[in-house]
Amino acid sequence: MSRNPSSSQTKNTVYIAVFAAMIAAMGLMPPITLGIIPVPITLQTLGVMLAGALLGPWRGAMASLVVVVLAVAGLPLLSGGRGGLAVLLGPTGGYLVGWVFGSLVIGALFKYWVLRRTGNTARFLAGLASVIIGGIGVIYLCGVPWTSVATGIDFGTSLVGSAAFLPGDLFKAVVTTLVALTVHRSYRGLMS
Amino acid sequence: MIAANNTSYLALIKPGWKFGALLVLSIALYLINSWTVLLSIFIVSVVLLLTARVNFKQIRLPLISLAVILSVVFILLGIQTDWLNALRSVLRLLTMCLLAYSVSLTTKFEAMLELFQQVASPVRFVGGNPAQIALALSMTIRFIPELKKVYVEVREAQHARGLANNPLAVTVPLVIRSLRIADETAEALDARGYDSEPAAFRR
Amino acid sequence: MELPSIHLENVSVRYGDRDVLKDINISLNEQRIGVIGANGAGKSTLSRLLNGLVLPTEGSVRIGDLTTSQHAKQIRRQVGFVFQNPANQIIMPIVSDDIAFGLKNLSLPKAERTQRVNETLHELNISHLADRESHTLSGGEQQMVALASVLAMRPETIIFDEPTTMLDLRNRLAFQHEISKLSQRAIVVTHDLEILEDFERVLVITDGTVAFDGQPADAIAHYRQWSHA
Repeated sequence: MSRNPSSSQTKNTVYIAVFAAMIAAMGLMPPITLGIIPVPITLQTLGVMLAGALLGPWRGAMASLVVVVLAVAGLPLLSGGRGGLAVLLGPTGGYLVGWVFGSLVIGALFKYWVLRRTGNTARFLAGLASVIIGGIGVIYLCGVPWTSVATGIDFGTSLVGSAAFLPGDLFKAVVTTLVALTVHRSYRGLMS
Repeated sequence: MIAANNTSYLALIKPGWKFGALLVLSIALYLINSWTVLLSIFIVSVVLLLTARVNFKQIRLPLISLAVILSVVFILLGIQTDWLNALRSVLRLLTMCLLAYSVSLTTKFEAMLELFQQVASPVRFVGGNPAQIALALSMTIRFIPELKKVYVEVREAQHARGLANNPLAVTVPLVIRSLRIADETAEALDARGYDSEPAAFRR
Repeated sequence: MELPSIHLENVSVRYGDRDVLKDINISLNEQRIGVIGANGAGKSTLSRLLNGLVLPTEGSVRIGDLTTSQHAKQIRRQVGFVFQNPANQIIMPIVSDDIAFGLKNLSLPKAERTQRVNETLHELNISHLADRESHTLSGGEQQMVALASVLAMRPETIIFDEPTTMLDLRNRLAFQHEISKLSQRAIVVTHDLEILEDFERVLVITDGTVAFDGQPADAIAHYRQWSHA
């Protein structure tokens, strides 16, 4: 079945919108608590990680950017119903900026590295490494210094503070990797 | 956080001016070191918010969570450096957030979005398409409730099978259904004559 | 009204190594045409061929002098499409904006867009939905809005792909009534056999071919017999 070729641009726009909506919907859901982790887990960054791992670098980054723009413009889309200019200017604004770059990096690593691995174990390990690098490394890299600059707290303390979210984020990284690899198996060519 | 028909004097100012003022003030706050000046600006920001006729219910929760973060910041900074420094830091952040609330709550969401689109319009010089960005933003707003519905449905279905708290059993179907929604919607856009080439999309 | 006829000549559609439609040759001239057949028989693909959403792997689909593979844009102005799932064809957050969306794609000026939106809502008796948020509509209302958004573009032909499958009985009857009132040509893919009674022509599709082509009563009889076999 040959689809009309002009529709690929349109398709990109729709994929960005639907995944942005998914990230937003995940933030509106009540956080889940897992017995082992003390801090309740909000699913929003799971959506951010998935957008990159499933849609690739630029569509993934755009999906995250759309959520950030809508939230900053005033929609209460961030977990806990937050929104407005204050979320960007406040002490945790860097994490929001980090989402965009996080999705970008995860997407690039999935597209050019993970999906070219053969063998289930190699793919899983590469996927997990990618999500950790982009979804934790990059996001914290934007968030931690921002908090430090905005509040005046030194970098080390800010880093220690963010560690409370690390177990939850690692858990989400594992989920993202498993989900993304499962979906890529049945939806081949999602990134081509 | 949306201005629900705000009727204050702040609602009459153009969003671009409010946004610009907020940006300039935010930077200025970090350049000011005198705690008395910071305190006076803080008082101004409180007065601004109080006279903006906003619905305080809308900012109760954000204010509480901000207060929690700021108390932690205050105590940490006080112990690590000195208490005057801690006060300055907290005043800055509090002022900035109160000003941001004042802008957000007196500006219509559509107006704010339009402003952002104007700010982003130079993307067309690097091959971006502002009309397509506008469409993506509208469609996202359209699909948020739809995706929420899908999420709830998937969770209920998995609950019946005892898998409601299994993240994989919930997320995989959620993603697959999102992809299907995207495919069908793209087809609907095509059928309704949407052309992603910029020329065909004139206002 | 003299409508350009739709011609399918030696049309085959292949998806990977699966033949979805095999060597179809038909001309469609009638005002009301039904398409029935089992799930997976190729009905949806056939309906999507008619406005260029799917292009044939072999052969050609012509509407008047236009070919879908070359004139997709013009053809979509003439041939509207209503999908099965009402939710996924509404694109804008507010109903009136959604109906205006297709008109914007036709590059109509704003005043005319507004006028057409109001007219169409009025024609379908859904003026009260104009300012509603799309996600608050019921399934039946959503399908009416989807029809409105197609009608506003004033196509000559409207294709319906199982438009009532996801509706309850009451909404199904209401929607069938709207289809029967249309002045446009309607080509309806459906599992609702009763809607076909006053149609002029019904095609039965089995395994990617036209197995029967004729009067509704005969077509339905053929389809029932095939289903029991």
